[in-house]
Amino acid sequence: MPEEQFPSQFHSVHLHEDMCKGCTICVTGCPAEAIRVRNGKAHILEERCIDCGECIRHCPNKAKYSLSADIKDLEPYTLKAALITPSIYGQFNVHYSKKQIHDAFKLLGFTDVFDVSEDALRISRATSYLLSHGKNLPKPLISSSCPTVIKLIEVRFPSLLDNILPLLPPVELTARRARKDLESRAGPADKTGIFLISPCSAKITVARSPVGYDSTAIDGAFSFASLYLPLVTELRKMRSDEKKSVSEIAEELKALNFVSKDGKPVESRIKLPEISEYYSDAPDGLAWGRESGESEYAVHFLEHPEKFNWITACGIQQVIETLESIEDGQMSSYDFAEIDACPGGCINGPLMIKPGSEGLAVLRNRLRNRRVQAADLASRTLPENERPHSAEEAQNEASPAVRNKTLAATLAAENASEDRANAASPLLTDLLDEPDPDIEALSFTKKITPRPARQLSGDFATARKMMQNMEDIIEQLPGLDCGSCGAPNCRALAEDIVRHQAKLEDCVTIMKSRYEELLFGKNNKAGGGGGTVGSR
Amino acid sequence: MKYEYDVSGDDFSKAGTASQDIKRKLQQLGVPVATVKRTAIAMFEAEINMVIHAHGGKATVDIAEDRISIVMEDHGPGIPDIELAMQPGYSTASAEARDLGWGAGMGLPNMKRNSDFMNIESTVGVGTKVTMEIHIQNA
Repeated sequence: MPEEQFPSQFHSVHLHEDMCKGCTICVTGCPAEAIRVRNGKAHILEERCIDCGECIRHCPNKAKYSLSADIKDLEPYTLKAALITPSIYGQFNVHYSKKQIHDAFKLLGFTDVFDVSEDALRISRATSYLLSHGKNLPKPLISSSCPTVIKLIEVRFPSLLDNILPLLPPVELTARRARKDLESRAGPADKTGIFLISPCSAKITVARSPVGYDSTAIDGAFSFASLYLPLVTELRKMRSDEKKSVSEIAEELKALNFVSKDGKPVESRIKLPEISEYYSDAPDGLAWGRESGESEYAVHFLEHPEKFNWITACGIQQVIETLESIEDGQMSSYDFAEIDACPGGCINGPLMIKPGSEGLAVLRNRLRNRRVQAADLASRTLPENERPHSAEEAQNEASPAVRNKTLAATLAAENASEDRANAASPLLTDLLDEPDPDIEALSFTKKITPRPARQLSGDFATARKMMQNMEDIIEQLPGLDCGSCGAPNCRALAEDIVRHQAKLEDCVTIMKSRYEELLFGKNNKAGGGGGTVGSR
Repeated sequence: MKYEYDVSGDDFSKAGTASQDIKRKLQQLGVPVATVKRTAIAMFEAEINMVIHAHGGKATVDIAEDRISIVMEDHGPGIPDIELAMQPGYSTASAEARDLGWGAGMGLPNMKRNSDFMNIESTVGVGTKVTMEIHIQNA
């Protein structure tokens, strides 16, 4: 990172100034209208940026990049954890196992690897608990997992802040779990570092400036794109998962707590209350990486899934349309809205390498393989009477009612040793019919407040004057929305002018007409030139 | 400040554009969040009504320091029984509109609930004029 660029509280998008041609493609493509080209370079208007990374995707000159930690940053630490989000597992060919992927991270210098999928499931449990036991829930509750969506709501849909599910993002839970694990093993001379591997700039920012809670357990965040090549290089040196022996697969499943060290099934620590449930439909959190995954897991844990009405939106255009519709009161028949800024979910994050389509296929195949492997292993190691039943029988056994009964107990066990300092959350308690410290331990601890970036002035009379002024200016502008002035459209330029951040002559059409006036006199234009000003 | 919008008839894809524009203006003026939301809902419902029942019309919005006044005027079929139309769940929406998820009969009740004053003048065969006022309460 060049020294002159300080990390922003709002975003992690930076610019290679020498590579920026000032072309305005990022300006017109920014869904928040938060970029201006000034003096030939793209600048982000801090308070408007929602950290979606669209500019990183669209820049034809690759001048936009995300802030990222560097492998060198691991040096001061002796114990260093990598947190892997579910979507990341979709970036490697399916024949590389989870363990091999973790090993590749270790070969880059991390000492420990933590899978965020596990904590994603904890959030799903808490979500379904809230949906079943909450009172006066806003409809729909909006998922809090995508930081860009939260920021978009802060800036453009502040009336929907109360709809945001007040639960911590899964990465934060993983970070706290990792912190505790590392510190329990650390000697007096050890220094522990927790690093997120991120699919997007938004999660990198939140790892530095959290939204909805005060302090994060994350010490730094890597752009996945920056680690892809070294990771794949390590993976290619390993042999393919296809040749793995049964004992190796068993080892892997043990690591995932599906079976105990002696090969017998155990009560899962984090994932599952019952082994039969695992065999029935195998929730392991991976699907959180794609669109609808979060909702499907919430459905899985619900007592009455048939009464649950949910909607998903992804891709920034659809997200904005959906939020507009929620704000207009048109979506109150839905209990839950899973909203992801990236098309298809995190698998298509701006810092991912593979196309989202392939990321999706790989996640699907990983889930399928896991089911096959687990069933195969179970049939080999379990005595006849303990073998899993058919999927149908298992499904009946693990009825939603049974699952839900174990839910509170499971959460209690999971949270038993969690830091309870935040138990007095002012947010989640408002939504629960009775206090529940186990759920509250996963709660946001800070209200999210509006970011009135659109407001022209704090004083109504001044704002009104500015708006009238703006409308007069819009009348004079050509209405071509060409972007040549450095603002995304004529209306935005007018707004910049009344905010004293631009001037009328930044408009090339107006400039041309002024130039012609000078050359040829006021009413004596060169044949056919200019003349569009004011003709709207 | 007065703004006028032509609400296009029968083009469902354009429904809501006027209320979205007003929403942005109110945010720029720093109008409280709750008031923006009430205005958005009231005006959106009125706009949809105009599209599905009256082949469009004209929306006039006047923003003052203490209130937002909305007048929605159309030359549609008119409402024969306003009291009946105001009942939650009552709807005469076409099958096409219902297929799109509208016509639940909550439009007028929602408009009333989200405004501080509402008046409907309607003559069958001539048209309908809905006037709504939303007070701006500064927190």
